[in-house]
Amino acid sequence: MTNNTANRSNNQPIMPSIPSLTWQLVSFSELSGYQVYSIIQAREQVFVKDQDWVYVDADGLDIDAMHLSGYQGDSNDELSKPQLVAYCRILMSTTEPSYPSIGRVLVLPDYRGAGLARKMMQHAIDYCHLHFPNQPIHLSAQTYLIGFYQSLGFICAGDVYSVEGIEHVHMISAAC
Amino acid sequence: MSHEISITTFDELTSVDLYHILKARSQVFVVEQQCAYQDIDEADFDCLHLVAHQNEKLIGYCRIIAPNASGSMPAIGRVLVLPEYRRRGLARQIMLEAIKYCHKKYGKKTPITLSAQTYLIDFYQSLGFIANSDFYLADGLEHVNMILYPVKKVKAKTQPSSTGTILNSILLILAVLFVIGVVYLMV
Repeated sequence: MTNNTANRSNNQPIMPSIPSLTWQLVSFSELSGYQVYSIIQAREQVFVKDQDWVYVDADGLDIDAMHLSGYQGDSNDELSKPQLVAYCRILMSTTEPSYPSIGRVLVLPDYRGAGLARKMMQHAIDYCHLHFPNQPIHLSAQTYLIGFYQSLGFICAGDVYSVEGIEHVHMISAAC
Repeated sequence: MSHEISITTFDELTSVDLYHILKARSQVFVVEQQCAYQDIDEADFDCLHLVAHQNEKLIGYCRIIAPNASGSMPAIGRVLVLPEYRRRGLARQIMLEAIKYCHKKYGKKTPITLSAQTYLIDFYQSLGFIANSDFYLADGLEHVNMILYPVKKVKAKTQPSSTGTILNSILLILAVLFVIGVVYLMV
């Protein structure tokens, strides 16, 4: 996690403006093989390799999730191998009424410091409010990002806990 | 154990198939081996993907990396059997299918290579592979390069040796006849 933070600050001056991305928000069945591959690749790079975190990233929940991806290049023109640079997924709880949670939020190292995570989270939050009116949004934040999620309207809801040595805290945004 | 083995290109895989492949690889090579490395390496687009299914569930897998234009050898990698399906010979069947496929697609004269974790040297040797490098560390795990040489080369070796045994026996007979002749002359 310390490394990650260092990377972030190192990369901040490199990308002063937000690069123009194509955003795609679709269900698993709408993803092509190439897109599934790009998503798992980015997640493994950030959460397994960079954070040195040994866990199965492809946890089976993706099949029923919504996937928000930011591509540099046209996400549907696969011949040009569009690069996935930002990603998160939206899970729906199986409880009734169903509430959404946002997870696997990432921006690839070279694209950090340009406000992409905030832009993407705003997209995801808008989607949740539209499809789950009157439902709070949940997420599990790495503790060094509490400030970031607070700035998006989330508040901590519970004690800090450790997942494989990485500190997390449950956060909730009030329903709108 | 009834199961089916299929071999497909990346483009032929459905999103769900692909997801289960990446999940299994992550379970075995990241979590089980406690190795936080990036399993996804872009080589998959040009690979053939061999999947062993049982009741539509992935239970074993390997990929075949096609030889490139500069004349490299085809390679077999990411060989795995999920823990609950081990010790039933499934890995051997997967390897035999992969080898058969390589020979069919790239010709029987083409050697096949792989990078083995050293604790599996005996397993790959039993399939005909021979170690041909020093041990080296890849992501903290000890590996060795192994090659399966063409079937023909083995045949070419056995043929002269079988004619050799015939020549040897003729020579032996002649020697015996010579000794008998000498003894006869002495008498």
